[in-house]
This record gives sequence, C-alpha cells and structure tokens, in this order.
Amino acid sequence: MKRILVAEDNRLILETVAQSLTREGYDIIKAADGRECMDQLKSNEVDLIITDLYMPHLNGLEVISNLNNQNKNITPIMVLSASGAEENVLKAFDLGVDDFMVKPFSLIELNVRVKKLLALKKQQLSIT
Amino acid sequence: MSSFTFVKLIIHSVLLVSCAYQSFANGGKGSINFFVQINASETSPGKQQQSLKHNIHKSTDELYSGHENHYYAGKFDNKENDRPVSEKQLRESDTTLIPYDLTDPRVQMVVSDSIDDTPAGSTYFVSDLPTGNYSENFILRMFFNDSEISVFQWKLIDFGKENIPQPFRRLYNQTIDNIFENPAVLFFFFLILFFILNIIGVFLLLSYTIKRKNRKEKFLRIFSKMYEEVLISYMFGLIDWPAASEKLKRKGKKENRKVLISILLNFKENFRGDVEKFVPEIYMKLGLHNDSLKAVHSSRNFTKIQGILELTHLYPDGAKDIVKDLINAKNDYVRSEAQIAFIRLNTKEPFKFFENLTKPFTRWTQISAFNLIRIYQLPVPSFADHLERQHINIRNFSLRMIVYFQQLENIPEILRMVESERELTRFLSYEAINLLRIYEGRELIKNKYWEEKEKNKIEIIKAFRNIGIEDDLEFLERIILSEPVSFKTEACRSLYYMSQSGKNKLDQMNNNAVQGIEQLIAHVTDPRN
Repeated sequence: MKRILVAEDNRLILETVAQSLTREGYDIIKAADGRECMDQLKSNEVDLIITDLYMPHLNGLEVISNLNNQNKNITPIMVLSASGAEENVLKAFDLGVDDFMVKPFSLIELNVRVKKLLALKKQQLSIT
Repeated sequence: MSSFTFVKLIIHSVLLVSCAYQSFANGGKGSINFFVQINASETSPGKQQQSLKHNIHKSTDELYSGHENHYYAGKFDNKENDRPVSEKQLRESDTTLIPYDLTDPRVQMVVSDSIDDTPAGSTYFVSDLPTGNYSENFILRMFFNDSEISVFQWKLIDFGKENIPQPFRRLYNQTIDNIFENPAVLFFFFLILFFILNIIGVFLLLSYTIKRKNRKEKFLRIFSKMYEEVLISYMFGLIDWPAASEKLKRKGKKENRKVLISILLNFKENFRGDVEKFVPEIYMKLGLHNDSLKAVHSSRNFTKIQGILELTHLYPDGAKDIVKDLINAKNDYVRSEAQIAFIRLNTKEPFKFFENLTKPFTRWTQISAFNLIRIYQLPVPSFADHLERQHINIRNFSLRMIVYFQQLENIPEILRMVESERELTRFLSYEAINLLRIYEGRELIKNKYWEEKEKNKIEIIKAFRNIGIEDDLEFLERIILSEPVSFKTEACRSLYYMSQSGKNKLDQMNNNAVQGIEQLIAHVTDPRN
C-alpha cells in the first residue's frame, strides 16, 4: 500500500483529503504543520508528500528546502495552496515540486494527480 | 457630698454650660460649635459609660484627663439632648452662664474652689491642652450627617478590635482617627481606595472575560471537530443523513449553528466538485439558511453583512432577491457587500444593478468588482453603455474599465465625457483618449485645455505624447512659451517623445534661444526623470 504524507494546517482540508485518499486505498499520515511534517518524515518512509504552502512553524517551501538539503528529494511532492500567485508557483517548481494545485480544488482531480505522480515515481524507480 | 466633689462639680458645670451656651447662641446661624464637657464623678466610672451619659461620642476629643475627671471638646451628637444635661447641671450648681469660645486660645479652663471661687487647682489654656479633632470633616459631611459618620467610625474601630491583631490595632486606630480628623487624608484615602478598586475591578473583569472566552473557544473547538468529522463521514457516504443529523449534537444552539455555517463556508472555500455540491444540501437540511436570512434582516450592520456573505456562498438562489434589495442600503459596508454579492451571483449580467443604483458605488467596491471580474473571469460587458448613466461613480468606473479592457466600441461616448461637469470624469476621459490612442479627440482636448484645471491640463499635455501629430506642435509650443514650469516640462516631454518633428521643433526653439528650453530638454531626456 502506498503511503502518502499530507501536511495541512486547516484541519477540515486535512481530514477531507485524508478521507478521500484513504478511500482510494492509500495509507495516510497526517501532519498539522511544517515541523510535524518533518518529524513524520524522520520516522516514516513515504511515497508522496502533499503539503500546504502556508503553515505554522515551517511553511511548505521551507519543508521542501529541508528535504532537498537532506537528500530526500526523490519523494514526489505536490503543493496545495490558496495562493496561485506566479511567484509562489515558480518558487515551488524551482525547489523541485512535482505538482501544484490551487484551492479550491476538486478531490477527484487530486486523486487523479496523486495516481499520476505515484505512477511516475514507479517509472523513475524502474529506470534507475 | 464632699467639698472637693462639690467644687469639681461647679467647675465642670460652669465649663459645660458656658460651652453649651456658646453652642446654642451660634447654633441658629448654622455655625459649627464646640463644647467642653466635664465628666465628673467620684466613683470614676468607665469612660465609655460617661460618654454615653453625656452624649460624648467619638467625634469629641478628650482634652485633658486629671484625677477622675475627663475634659472633652468636640461636637456632641445632639444639641437637644445636651441642653437638658447642661441646664440640669447649671441649676444644681447655681452657676452663672458664661460664654466661652474654645477656639480662642485665651480661654482657660480653671478648676475653681467651690466656696470662694478662687483657683484651687491648675489653670489650663485650651491651646495648651493636647490637640483634638477641632477640624471639621467637610468631605464626609457632604455625604453623611454627624451621626452616620460617628457610627461608621465606631464600626471601623469595632471591626479592628475583632479582626486586626493586637500589634497592628494601634496603628489601625490611629489611621482611622487620622482619616476622620484630616479631610485631606480622607480625600486621598478615598482616592487611593477608588483607584485600587478600579484596578481590582478591571483585573476581575479581564480575568472573567478571558476565562469566558477561553471556555467558549474550547467548546467551539470541540464541537467544530465533532461536526467536521460527522460532515466528512456523511459526504463520503460512511453514514446516512439521519445518523449524521443525530450525531450533530446541540445543533439547535445559536453558537453551534454558527460553527456549522463556518464549516460549510470552509468547505465551499477550499473544495470544488462533489464536496462543493454537498454544501448547499447540508445547509438547507440543517435549516441554516433561516439563520442567514435572519442575520440579513438584523438591525446590526455587521450581522447583516455576515448574512449576505453566508447566503451568497451557501444559498445563491435565495440570496439573489435579498441582495438586490440591499444594493442601495444606507450603510456603506452593507451596500458594498450587497453590490459585490450581486456581481458574484449574477455572472451573466454582473453590472445589471447599475440600472437601479442610486447610492454611491465606492472606489473600494469598484476595486473589488474589478478583482471579481479578473479572478472569476466574468463576462465583461460593454462599459460604454454605462457612460450614459447619470450616476457619477458608474461613469467613472466605466471609463476606467473601458481603458483596462481596451473597449473602443463607442468612442463618441468617451469623447462626450470630456464635457462632463465633474473634474474627475473629464480627467478619466482625457486619460482614456491618451491610453486608447483616440486621435479623434485631439482637437477637442486642445480646445478644452485653456479652461481646464492643473491636473487635467497635465493629462491633456501627456495625451499628445501618444496622439500628437505635426498639427499639434504649435499648441505645445504655446504652452512652453506661456505656461508655468510644470506644464512646460510636460509639453517638452510630449514634444520630445511624440515624433521626430517634435524633436525638431525643440531644436528650433533651442536655436531661437527660448528661455529655459535647454534645461527643460536636459530634464526630460535625463533617464532618471
């Protein structure tokens, strides 16, 4: 079973996304802020990270930077953000983010994108 | 009765009656009188007992205590009560009534012999005696009568006796005495007490408010979490509606209904698709639209705005008519919210409300409307149609939108705005002519220039940078030759950037040694400007 880490400070979004992905058959780890996200990553191997951009303690971009510094950048990352500002999108992709979704978003679309990202990761692993 | 006792009685009576006389004599004038009362007794009864007998209360002071006698000065509780005592002693002692003014330092209290009336004991000057509370406590007297003051003071002393440990009691009693004797001390005492009570009050109020707020927030957090879980379960089909409804505990409470609405708004704000579709359904099933409708009809503007917001997001069909009615609301914020809601709810004709708008369409609302058009990519109407409207805000907004969306369908309408009575409208039309490159407006704005105000004049000159041709060189030259420096500068800039012929004109003027032209050219060609 694929394991996905969802980091989001809005509990309603976190629970809804987690519920939606659980129904799709994924194992979900939840984190309410950036620091908790980093803690969870220390103790868990995950196949995908879905993170919000604006979170307490560590924001999404800081989380991604930390992952890059720790050479954990092989995990695909999807960003969920209320702000679709070009600056944020470019910065996120510059840091190695694989996908970017702007809120409000559709859960069906999210599931499709997750599936796609996991498939890509699988392809990459098989090549390497 | 022994002679000694008799003498003492006479002396005491003389003093007592003299002071009583003084008191009665001045009483009718409303002045405050002091008495001296001698407390004489062979049996030496307790001070308190004697005090009661002669109506001596705490507001009197013991002037002197010798043998078994006590000498008091002060105001007695009741003149009427005092009179019989004085008169009785006067009668018994057969003593002449002598007026004494105790406030006069020359007054003596003489212990006289009863037989030959010669001084038999010490002579005391009142001024030499220990000071007492001669001062009147005018502050307390403003609010209470003497009796009440006295009773209150005694209560304080009794309280001290019962509650204050012996080592501190003396200090306490002294403080009480000082307070009652000295008005300034009393004033500051009450002032300090007032401030202390105020501070305590504020702290208590703060503590209570914070505690109450925290408790409320804690409850709301608990309910919020519970409601979210139930609603998510329902949305994902884990439970049916009856079960969900049953699990939504205390959903009838006003505060909890607000929590439910905020959760639904949160869903609406963050999700599209299936989840978004569930939101109005739950909103209606829980009857929350009634709460929002009630809020819209509230007399409080903030609640009204909240109601508009909820209906717009969660019950659009129900919101349309209500919002339409509030387009011309008196309150700026309510009106602004209603106008924005109208644009959101009527995506096909977002500015249809212009037809009925009589109240202002504020700049803030205009900016919000513009953002809504951009964010939600609403169909942009032909704003030139709205230039005909009498409403000045609509015309100005339309001119701005015409420029932004490059709407050149109705140029005559834009040019007509140059004739507007409003300075801002004319300014916006000059700006539109400039930015939209409306060459047809050249002659018109040249004619308007000389009657315009400074800001508009500058805008007209600026326009020639974009739309100016050779025919306009003379106009700009005239400005450089005759107008103040700000206009000259702008005209020089327009000439320079208009075309090669403009630059040639500037060179020609420079060669003709037009005053200051060299500096103007240097200024406009400087990249820092």
